[in-house]
Amino acid sequence: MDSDEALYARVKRGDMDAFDELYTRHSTRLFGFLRGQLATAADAEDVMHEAILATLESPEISFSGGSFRTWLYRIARNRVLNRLRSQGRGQGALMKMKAEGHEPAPPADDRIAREQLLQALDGAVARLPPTLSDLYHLRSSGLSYDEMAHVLDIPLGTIKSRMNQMVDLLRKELLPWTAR
Amino acid sequence: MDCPLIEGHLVGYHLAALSEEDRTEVEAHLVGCGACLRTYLALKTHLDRGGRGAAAPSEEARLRLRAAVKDRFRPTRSQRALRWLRRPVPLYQGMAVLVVAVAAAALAPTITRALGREDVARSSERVDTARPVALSTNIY
Repeated sequence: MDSDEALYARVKRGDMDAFDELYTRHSTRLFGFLRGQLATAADAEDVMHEAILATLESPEISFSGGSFRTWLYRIARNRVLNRLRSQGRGQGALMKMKAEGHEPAPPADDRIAREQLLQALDGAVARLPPTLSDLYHLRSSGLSYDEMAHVLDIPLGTIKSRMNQMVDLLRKELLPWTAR
Repeated sequence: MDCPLIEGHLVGYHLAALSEEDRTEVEAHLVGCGACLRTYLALKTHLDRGGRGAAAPSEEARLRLRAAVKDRFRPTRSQRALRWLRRPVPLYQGMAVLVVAVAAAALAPTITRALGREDVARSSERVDTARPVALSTNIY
């Protein structure tokens, strides 16, 4: 199986089979990453389109400084930030989610309780501060600690401590739904 | 650990962000507790999908991107020719070419001999020198 980087080189030579393979490998997770940060699926699709094209077109990409996936997520994240900044709703969306606050404690029925736990998790993720939210989405997309350090351009040690902080925060936020 | 504590650790477990000790405890608990295992599987499915509302990009989005990539990275004529030359040839085509080549090699001496005999026959035709000049020009 070809590496992402080999497929990337083939796409740049116009090989559409390589593009299809690369798209199959990354589109779902990248879309999930973007969908978690943008208001609508259409926004996520637009940013994904821009990010993949920008990654393929960028002349200065060198894989010695990170994998194809690292570059893809780095560019996608920058596009998300630009879009949120230009739409002026980055903080707005977060504030909206924060304003929703905690929902009442879940009922005992297992299935409903599970559904509510997942809703509570979405709410808790939306309330994460931006630094931890980035980590959450990147990690959910399957990036390693090293790759996240490259994407966010911060030291590995900081990634580790923030991951602990993020997981601890989510655990505390979910406490009303788990302590039944 | 009991169920509520385990459930609190499930997100961290999924993101592989638990300490070795907590991870071992969660795994040991999941093996023996169906309710927590079901919760974990629901959580994992939810997180793998990217949470609320996320699924996969639409087919339309894929086609739009594919068309854009195809347009931007269209290969030049020489690249296309090179790719055509390097394309894998199906086995039956290769075999057909081989059969034709072997048959041609096998039949070549016979054909050459036959042509040679014809040449000899033609050169040994008797020339009627007694004929008038006007007619003999047709011969030469």
